[in-house]
Amino acid sequence: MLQNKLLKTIKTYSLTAAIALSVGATMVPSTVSANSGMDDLKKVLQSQIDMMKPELQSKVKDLSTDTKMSIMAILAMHSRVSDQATLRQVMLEVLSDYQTMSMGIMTDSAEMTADSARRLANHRIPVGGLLPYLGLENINDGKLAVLESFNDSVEGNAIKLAEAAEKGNMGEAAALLGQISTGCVGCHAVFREYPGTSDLLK
Amino acid sequence: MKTNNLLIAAVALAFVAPTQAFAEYGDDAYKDRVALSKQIKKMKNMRKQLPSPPPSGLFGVYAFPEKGQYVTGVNFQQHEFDGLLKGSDSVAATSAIINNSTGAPNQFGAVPSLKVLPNSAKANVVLPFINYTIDDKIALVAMAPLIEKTSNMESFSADGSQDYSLYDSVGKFTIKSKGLGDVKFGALYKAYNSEDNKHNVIIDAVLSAPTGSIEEADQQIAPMTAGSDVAGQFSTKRLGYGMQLGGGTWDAMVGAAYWGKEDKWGYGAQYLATIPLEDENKNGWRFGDKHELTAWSSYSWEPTLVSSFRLRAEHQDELHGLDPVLAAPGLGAQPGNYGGKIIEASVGVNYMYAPAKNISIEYITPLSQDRNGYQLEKESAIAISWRNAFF
Repeated sequence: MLQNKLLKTIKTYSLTAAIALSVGATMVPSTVSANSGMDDLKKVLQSQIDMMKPELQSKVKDLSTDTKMSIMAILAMHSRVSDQATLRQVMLEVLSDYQTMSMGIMTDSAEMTADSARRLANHRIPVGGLLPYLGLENINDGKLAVLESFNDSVEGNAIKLAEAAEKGNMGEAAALLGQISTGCVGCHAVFREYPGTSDLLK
Repeated sequence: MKTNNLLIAAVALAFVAPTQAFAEYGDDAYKDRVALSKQIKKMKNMRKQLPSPPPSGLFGVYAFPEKGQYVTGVNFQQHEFDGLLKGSDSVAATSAIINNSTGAPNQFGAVPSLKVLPNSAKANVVLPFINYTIDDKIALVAMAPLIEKTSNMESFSADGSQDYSLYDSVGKFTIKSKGLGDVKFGALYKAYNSEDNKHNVIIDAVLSAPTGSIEEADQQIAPMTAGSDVAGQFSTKRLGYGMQLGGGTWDAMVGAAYWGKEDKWGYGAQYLATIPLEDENKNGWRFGDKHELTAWSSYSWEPTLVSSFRLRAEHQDELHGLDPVLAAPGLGAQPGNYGGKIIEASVGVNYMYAPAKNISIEYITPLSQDRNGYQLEKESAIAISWRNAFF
């Protein structure tokens, strides 16, 4: 009885709902539909998730909206998305940029320091994004909650370092180098095991 | 839903009006990327301070956290009534109401029982609204209802007796009223927010202005009375109190709402009292005080899809006073046939079809009704909301 009534009502008002939706859609500000940055970001995400194996997709699906938004905020900062580079290769590039930053500071080269710092901050995103390289055991809200703060510590301070160098303030740039290192080490401690070990050693 | 869609949907939560470019390398491009990333972080923080989307038919249960942020949109409600109630019992017009000796009493004139009855009715309300935050504690709200009411009526012969066959229908007709209802405006005060925003209390303080007409009239068929030369013919008469577009008085709408959330669950409750601030309107009457209590729970299946369940109880006092122009043997003209109790249950769905743009629908059905006197029985209602947030 109640079901029939509900069905009848749904039929009766479906047209009304359609009209309301269409009115709503026409009133959506054009700024949203024209959000090209967002559209690009969506495409990148779509391609990354398409590359993931089902077990990883399942883990990603279970992440909270907050965590997903944090990952988005990190991804939004990067314009260089690779379809070939692995995370290890990207980290080696980052290390190279880090060393160039140090070299720039040591040689009082503002250009070298700032360029390498900005390149580090906008490091390449590895193929498939960051998540596939972190291990399934780390794809959860608890572990990924620290990602944003480590990212701010490394990339945020790299930008500050670049700005300090451009102002000729190498003392401040040198101090920021330590904070960047702290961010790197913290992130490695959570997401990376001791590198280069061999299971063939007793 | 595919996993990739889920992640994209989550992202959609983060974005609102400002356009940012996810662009290539370079100073301007970098600034755009930073702005986009900051915007996502800001929205992530904002999301913590807002409830899971409340059911469609609810107002005054949340406010945005910062000055200048607001939500606006349109709410559409349709309420349907069918059949007659005496208290909580369904009654048939001929057997229980128009009988001269045992039927529903007519307060006016020589006709002892009611002779003009509604069979069914429908009320449509289109309600544009805005909720604008002016500081970290107060938001201003305003809404202007556009109302259309339709009632299918039947007039009976006034020659009532114990023989029901004599209760001849004089004719069926439809009455309508349409126009602006009582405009409402006021403030929401954020009385309490826990540090994690999981528990929040809002105080509602709203005024209802008497902008709705209380003198709506339409063509009606007069009941058949002995010696009457207009019996059975149409004539334009003022409509009953329930068919008017407003209450004719300034009313205070005061109450409090609690909302909370935990993981994918949202929940809350609201008490709202509508109290006329005048003894009577210019035509000599006012609606009774109304008290509403509602509680809801919602579950977020996806970041963009939330379902809800809600219970609502209402108690309204009888109508006070009377409009002398309305002295007629009609059900809607009797002040004793207004107010009462009703308990309703509703299920709803909220869908975020675009960033910060929500469309929601709620189906409402009565669980029990105990109305004062004789009234139309509420069948169902539906509420559709379009909400558009600006951060």
